[in-house]
Amino acid sequence: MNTPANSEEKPVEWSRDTQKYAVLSWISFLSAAAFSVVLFAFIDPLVIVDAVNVQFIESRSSGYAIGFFFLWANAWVACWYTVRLIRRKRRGPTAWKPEQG
Amino acid sequence: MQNSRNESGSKYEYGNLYRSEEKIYPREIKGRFSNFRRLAIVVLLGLFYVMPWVTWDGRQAVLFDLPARKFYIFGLTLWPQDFIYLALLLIILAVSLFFFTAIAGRVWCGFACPQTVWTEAFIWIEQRIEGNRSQRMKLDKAPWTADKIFKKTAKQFLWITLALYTGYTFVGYFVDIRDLSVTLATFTAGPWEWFWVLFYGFATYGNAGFMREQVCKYMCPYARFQSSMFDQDTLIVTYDPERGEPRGPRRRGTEPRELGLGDCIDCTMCVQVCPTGIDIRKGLQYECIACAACIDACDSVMDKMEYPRGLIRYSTENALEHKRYHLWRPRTIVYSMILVALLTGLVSSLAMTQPVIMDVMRDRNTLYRDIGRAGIENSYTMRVVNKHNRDHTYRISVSGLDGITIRTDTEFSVPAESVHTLPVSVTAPHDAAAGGNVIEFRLQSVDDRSIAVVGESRFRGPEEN
Repeated sequence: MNTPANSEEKPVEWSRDTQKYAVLSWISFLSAAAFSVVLFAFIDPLVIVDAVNVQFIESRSSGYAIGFFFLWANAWVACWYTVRLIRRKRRGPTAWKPEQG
Repeated sequence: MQNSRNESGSKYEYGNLYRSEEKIYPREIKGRFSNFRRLAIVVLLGLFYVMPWVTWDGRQAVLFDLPARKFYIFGLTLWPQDFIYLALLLIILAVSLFFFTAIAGRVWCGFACPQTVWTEAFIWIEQRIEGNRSQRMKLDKAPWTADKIFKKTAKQFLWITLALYTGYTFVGYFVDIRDLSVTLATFTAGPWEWFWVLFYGFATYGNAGFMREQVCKYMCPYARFQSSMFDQDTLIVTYDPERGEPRGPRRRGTEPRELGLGDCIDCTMCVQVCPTGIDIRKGLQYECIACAACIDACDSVMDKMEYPRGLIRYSTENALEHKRYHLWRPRTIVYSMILVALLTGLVSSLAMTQPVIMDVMRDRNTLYRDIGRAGIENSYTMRVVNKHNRDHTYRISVSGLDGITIRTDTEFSVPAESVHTLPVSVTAPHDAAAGGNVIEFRLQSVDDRSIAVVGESRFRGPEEN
């Protein structure tokens, strides 16, 4: 009881890259989940199978799963690329600086 | 990959942010709020694990039967056409989350979020096996003895078992759980069932055993925008600096005012119990999930010191500043009005919904056919969905033009919960059928007069000249 604060215990920080991949994977997962619900509420995956004759989708379950992962991959790539493009400019020795004076 | 990125740039910008991850060892705590949270967790986990086994009308009570494209929720059967109800329900849940956040802050995070619930369950297992906070910290630093290997293996075994069972239960909401148990046990389940059990099990293990509070701190979108629902009257977990400061250690039984101290004895119990590792005495922080563990911790310390409880408590900003509290303020009024409107809409539309759907599609290939003295004929394809759990016989009729009749069968029966597609041909006399006209189909159940729906379509004839 009443032990002093553990000096070795500091708040946990994820590195910026870990944060980036965690956030973009999670957000793209959520949006893929939401959009697959909307998509498959209106479209029966077997209808797509009949229409374009994709042999490897043999059941509704695989249709749902492939549809979901397709949407997730799609959202993941979009999120990843957005993060890449809007990341902040580097400062410091390796960054490009305009000529002084 | 991470290392090369760190060295290449951002390190200069932010200084040395790249501390290696340090584990938080939350101290276990007893008290009012932890009892309440334990109760919430038992109830919620119990509901989750038991619900798929509840039966209703001889089938699983809650089953989102994806392979058959039908959702069963107790007495209610939802078809893909009823998607609007599901969407409405989800919107209602979102608005109620806003409403409760405005009133009581992050109660969702602290007591009901699946992330919290499963994290607590995993921590509970960890504590049963590895002991309390200091024992766990010691164990992690200790060399790999047989005892440590045994404890770590036992913990991982229980964690993985719970995670896989969670995955199995989750899949049991989408395919019949009794069938699933049999097919999993006999290794005859389909590849996707295996996949989803493992996938969800892995997600549970990763989120509750490994990532824990990091999910709340970095990944959760709600944690980022919930502050926009907060105002001066929202309940938050706060430290009362007026009463606590200046903080400092003292012997029991001494009068703090004589020493020039506040009530906070700086024992840091509130920091040690925090699952996200923050110091609530620094004010409201976005990492705080309002689990109230610090309240319990501080109350127990206050009891020992014989000071009044509530140095850390649920309070509002206005209350701390000795201002009046308003339950009904524009924010809560607007949220509750939206909520009431949506609920009324959902309940009334569910009450008025007919257990049958009729779609009429006009044949696109031919505009019309002149069939001599009988008049002009148009062809349609009719799709009738009987959503009821028993068979029905229906009769169709058509109106909108003088002398319009249906030439094909007008009476047919559709088995329970199935779809019937039939061709329908409609004729009308020459003088009435010119140009495009709107006609109305009416479908009426023969055995239950209250079941009736109407649908519009177009009837085309030769252009007038």
